[in-house]
Amino acid sequence: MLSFAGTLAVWTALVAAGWLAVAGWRAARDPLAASPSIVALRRSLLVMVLAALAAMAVLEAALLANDFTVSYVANHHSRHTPFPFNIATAWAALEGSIVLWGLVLAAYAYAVWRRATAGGAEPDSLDWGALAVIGAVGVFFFGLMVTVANPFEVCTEAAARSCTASSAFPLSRAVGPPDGLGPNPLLQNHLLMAIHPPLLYLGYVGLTVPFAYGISALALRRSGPAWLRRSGLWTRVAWVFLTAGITLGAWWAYEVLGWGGYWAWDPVENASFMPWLVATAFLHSSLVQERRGMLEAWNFVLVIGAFSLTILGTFLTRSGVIASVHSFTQSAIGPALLGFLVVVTVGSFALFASRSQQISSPPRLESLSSREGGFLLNNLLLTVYAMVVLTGTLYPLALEAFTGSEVGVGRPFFDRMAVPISFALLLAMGIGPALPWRVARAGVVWSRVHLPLQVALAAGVLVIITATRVGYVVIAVIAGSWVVAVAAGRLWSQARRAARPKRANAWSMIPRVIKSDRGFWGGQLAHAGVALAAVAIACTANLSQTLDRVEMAPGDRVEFAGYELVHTGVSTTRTPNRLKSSAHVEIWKNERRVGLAEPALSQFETSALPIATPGIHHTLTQDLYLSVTRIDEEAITLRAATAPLQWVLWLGGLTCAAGGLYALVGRRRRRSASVRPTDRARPRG
Amino acid sequence: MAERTGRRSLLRWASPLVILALAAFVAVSLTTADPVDQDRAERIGKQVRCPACEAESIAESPSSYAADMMGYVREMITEGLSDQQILDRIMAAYPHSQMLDPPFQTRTALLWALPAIALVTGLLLAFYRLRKPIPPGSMEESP
Repeated sequence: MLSFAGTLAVWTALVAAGWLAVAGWRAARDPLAASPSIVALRRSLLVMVLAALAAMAVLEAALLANDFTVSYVANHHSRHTPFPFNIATAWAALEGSIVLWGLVLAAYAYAVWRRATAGGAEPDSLDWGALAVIGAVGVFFFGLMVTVANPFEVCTEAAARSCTASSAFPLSRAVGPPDGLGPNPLLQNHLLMAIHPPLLYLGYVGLTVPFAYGISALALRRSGPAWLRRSGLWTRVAWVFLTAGITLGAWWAYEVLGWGGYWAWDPVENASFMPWLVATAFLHSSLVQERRGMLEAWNFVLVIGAFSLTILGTFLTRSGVIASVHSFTQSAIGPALLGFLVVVTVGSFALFASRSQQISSPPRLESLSSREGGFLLNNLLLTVYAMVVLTGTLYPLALEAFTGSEVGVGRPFFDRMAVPISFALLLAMGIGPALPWRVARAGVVWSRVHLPLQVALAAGVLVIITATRVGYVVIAVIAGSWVVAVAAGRLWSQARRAARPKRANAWSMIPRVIKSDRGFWGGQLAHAGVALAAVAIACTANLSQTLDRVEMAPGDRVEFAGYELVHTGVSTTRTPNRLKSSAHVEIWKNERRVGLAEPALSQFETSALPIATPGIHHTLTQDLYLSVTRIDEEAITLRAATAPLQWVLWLGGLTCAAGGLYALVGRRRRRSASVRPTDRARPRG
Repeated sequence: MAERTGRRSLLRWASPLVILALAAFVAVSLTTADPVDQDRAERIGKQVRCPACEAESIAESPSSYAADMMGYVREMITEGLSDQQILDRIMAAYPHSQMLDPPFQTRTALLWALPAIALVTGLLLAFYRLRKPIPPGSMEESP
């Protein structure tokens, strides 16, 4: 029954997406006589949104109702999966995650429509064209749901705990196992797992919208500021979600995976990081086009590149081509995604090439030492960064595919390449906001940076005297303080300038200065977040102490990093789907008991290997991270590590996202305000 | 602009001196700092991929297989072997193990070259395509 409803919803969404593509294209082609097409567009859009919602709702209903006749439910859910993981199971495996993808895409389409028609806005063919592109992308993803990744297949042959054969025909005779195996154990260990994938999807799928505007502008031969403003807005939306999603993903890895790290340059992580890098590059280069009319062709390349990378990432992680902890699926979806990737990249770049004559020939840079030059440097670094990650991720695959020989490309490679690029980015982030547009004279730049430079170096000296002389940490602190100090210096001098004619206190002008250019100051807040993250990464990577695998019988003590760890016993708890053995480790410092950590091993009935859960003792200066590799009555095997300033990394990532959010809110206001004729020129940054 | 012209000349001279002094202190402290005392076994282990897992090194992986391999690394360290000898023996003893750090060979040349090519191409583009000579008299600034 639910299979039938779900299949109906997915087919409806598929047809509506195709209809949206056609109606959108017709409305875009002929905007004057467009009203029937726009009516059709609106209808198809609403149908697609409702159908995508219905598909998700049916999937959730099947999970909550334990309807094991739906093969997805039989294979990925069990009666004992606790809340909220039973809800999250809907996107814990391939087919369900595509349903979420479709829903998010439909939601974005609706938001684009709302924005295009809000407040008596002039109907614009760019919007209709973009909706047509989103519709076409929707055809692909809803098409996946009715073919190679069908979440509503009916189970026709059941084993004890799973479904061994299934049919896409919804009225097939359904049988269901009495219970299923449940989702991947790694995915039911922490609350973050229920939050982080939807956030990441909102970011990932959101990059479809700027791509759609780019393609719409190319197809309609409408280069210029209109597509750029829209693409910029939607890239900001996606970027905020993507930033938050990546941060929470790293946090999840740290809290759950039990190896003490948060970033392994795993293909799944790279898959989310590459579009982030390219989207970040676009956020900056779009400002150059907005202000100076330059780099338009490059901006087209970036929006196409960012979207292509999301599809590439989906292919890498969902096709099982690289098996990793995250790649929990292997299916016929690989060729479909690869084909789509080829169509998207080849088609988009062919369109781009055929329109290159119409893309406005840009005025050239007066000088490389200018704000524009800073943005160029930023784009160069971010693109090379993305290139490094892409090469490192694909190289082993390509080499094996073409020559059959195997090579490992892992953390040491990525670290060696990424660290210098990251430091260069930090320095650029400090100098960029201090550079004036057009031409930066040395005197002006010096007046803006010499005090921040002193502050930053003083911070470095302070760290050397009080904490550590490890080079990476000191340099990260200097570079990070420099980024923050330059921004603070700009803020202070603008506040003073604003206060002077009014004879007001400069402090009282700070909120007004910030509000007058939310885009810029939101960006500076995001920079501060990156600076915080950089310092935290330098600390955790270089100041961490580790203790490798000590055997401890109950009552044993071990000294580690100024702590004394005491193993006091083992307890086991049995829940329907797992047997969890926890070690109780008391943490003592200076003869005082400061905490108790319970690193655990969980044996899920679905997996042969036990899943380790760390026990983490959080403090302001560092985390003490304990994990066990063996637990029994006689002894445990304990690993311990310190993670200095680990929480600062989460703070930095979320600050970065918050900065993007602030810029987004400001952008909206500014745009609606600029309609008014009395609008004053915005203060120059 | 007042913030530039209003500064006293003393301050204008003091500022570069302070920066130089601070930078010199940082540079000297960092160059004379003791090298980070990292566990040698850990450093070697981080370069070897754990065969039982995907992206993790044997130093990080919690699996018992990785623990065995780390034990072997420590054994060889006490025997006094060099890093390269240890890595070679690990590769020989565990046939499915792999370096996480790809060596520079002909088959990996492209891996190392591509980012460099991208960087150089970008720089060339920035210098030759996007820049134009400044016509005299147009040196206006907008802050």
